[in-house]
Amino acid sequence: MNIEAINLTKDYGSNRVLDNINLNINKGLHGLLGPNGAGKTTFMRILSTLIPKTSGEVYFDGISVENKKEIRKIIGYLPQEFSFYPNFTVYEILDYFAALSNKKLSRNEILDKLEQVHLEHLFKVKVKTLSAGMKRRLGIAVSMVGEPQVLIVDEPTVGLDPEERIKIRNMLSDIGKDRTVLLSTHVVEDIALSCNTLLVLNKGKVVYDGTVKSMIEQESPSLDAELVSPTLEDAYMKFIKEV
Amino acid sequence: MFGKIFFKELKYQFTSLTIIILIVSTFLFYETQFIGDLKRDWVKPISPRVETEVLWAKEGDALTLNSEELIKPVYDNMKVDYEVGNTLKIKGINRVYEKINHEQETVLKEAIKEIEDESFNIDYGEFRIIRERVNKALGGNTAYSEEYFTSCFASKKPYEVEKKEYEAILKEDMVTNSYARLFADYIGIVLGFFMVFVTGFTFVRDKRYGSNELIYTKEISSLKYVGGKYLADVLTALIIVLVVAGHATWLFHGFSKITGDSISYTAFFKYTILWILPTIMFVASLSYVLQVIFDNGIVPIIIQFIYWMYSIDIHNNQITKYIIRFNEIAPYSQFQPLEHTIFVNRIFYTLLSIVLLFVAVKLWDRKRGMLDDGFKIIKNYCYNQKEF
Repeated sequence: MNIEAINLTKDYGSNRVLDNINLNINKGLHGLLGPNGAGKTTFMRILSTLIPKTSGEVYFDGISVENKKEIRKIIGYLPQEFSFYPNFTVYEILDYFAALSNKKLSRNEILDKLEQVHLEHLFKVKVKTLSAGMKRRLGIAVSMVGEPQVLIVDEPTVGLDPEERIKIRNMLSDIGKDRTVLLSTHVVEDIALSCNTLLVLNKGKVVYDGTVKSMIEQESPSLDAELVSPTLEDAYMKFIKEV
Repeated sequence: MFGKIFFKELKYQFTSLTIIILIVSTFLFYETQFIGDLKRDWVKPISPRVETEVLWAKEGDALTLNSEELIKPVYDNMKVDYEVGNTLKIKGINRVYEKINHEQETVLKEAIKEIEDESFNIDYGEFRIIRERVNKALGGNTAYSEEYFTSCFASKKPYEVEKKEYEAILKEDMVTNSYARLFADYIGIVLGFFMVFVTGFTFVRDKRYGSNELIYTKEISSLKYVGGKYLADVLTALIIVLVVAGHATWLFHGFSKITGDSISYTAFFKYTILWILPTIMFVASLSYVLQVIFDNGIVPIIIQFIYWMYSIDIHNNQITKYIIRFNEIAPYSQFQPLEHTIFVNRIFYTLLSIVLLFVAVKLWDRKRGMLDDGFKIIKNYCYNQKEF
């Protein structure tokens, strides 16, 4: 599934949050990197039909984002902050969100989906007892329950311990093998370890759109530091400073 | 899909704390007001054994009773009980005569003697002690008990008048239809306000639990989502009222068995659907619209309370009032002049509820695609300044 943004702009009053964004995203896991306030969440919310754009166009395989009914069939969205009804069990949550996605799943199908996020053994457990990492994994299962062609994930690893972060990254990498996944984060390591391509947003503008490898290559090692190879973080910091 | 939303909401409601508010308030009002009225005025008048004058006096709008004037009829009744060998017992909403044994007769005889010895000049405190002692000896729940002695010995109307009224109710309403109107009046008052505690947070909850953005981006249509929750919320309240209506029917079934008078078994359910359901639907619809607009559940509660205060005025059932008031036991012929007004009122609020439901669906649909719009624009602007 291809996502195309043409001159996408979003204003809040006189404040321009997204400024003429032009990009093209295809199948695979794509990183969206940027400092706090860069416009990442606004961009993702526009893609997810949660807020309207001010001008420009966004298409999902030629379907305009304004056709919300059709877009909601295509996308799965996991916001940065979310939770579930605390007294529902893990199984009930997935069953409920399957219904919200107009999918009728059997018990085995629900358990299979929980297995994909390593929560099958907790299907009877109430959501309120889950750890933050488990909730995040359940969130991924919930956003994938309608079998969307595009998954939009906002800061999925914030506040998680290293083990959970690895689990989440691996899951997203698996999903990205046959779908379009847009992973927003300000954690450079998440992108470096899981994405092939990335977009860098800063002050509402796209400052980089390309592969992780070429971004690192653009950051040539300093003459004073001959033994140190540049990292994605170095390259990212350079882009941010330049804008 | 619709069914899943409906059942999940139903499950949520029946395991939530707010439902307790609705259940407790409904049962409390039913017990204290409706059952209270039945036990105060009784369903079927029975011929008094002694001369029970109408001891109530009118002071302004209120009827007042001089309890001390009850000493004579109580004494007379004790004598008749002693002579006949039975006494009046209260069983729920029914009054039946039961035989008394030798020991109970002895207690009655002693009580009669005590009153005679004092030549009826005993003070009220002493009289009360005697009366309670007799009640206890006779097994409690008798006409001498503190709870019932006033209603048994001081009727507000002469027996002949009461009998005539009851016969009209029996003939025109099969008893229960008349009482179902009183039931609908009381329960309508409770549901007319407390229902908002169940429905006022239905969508606010999605946000409070942080599920709203996940839900907004799902494929489900707004009509199915809001409609599923609406049906579940309305059914939650309706189930509670139907249980109470079932209890009222069961009480009157007992009455019918004891008196032999036939009753309508559908009356309480019929008035629940015709009178109370439109009230439930209206409160649910209005609270849905208000909470989607204001993004909180407190505003619907405040607005509902103000409207409720206006609507519980008993004087008429005009179209601007969403609660039907008919706080009296009267045969159908006395109710009939109001029937058309009430019918129009109920049709109006049923249709208005459906219109408001569709308004709520539209508003919710708009909200799920415009998180940064509406009444919360300033808040979202500030939020986006920080987060974008």
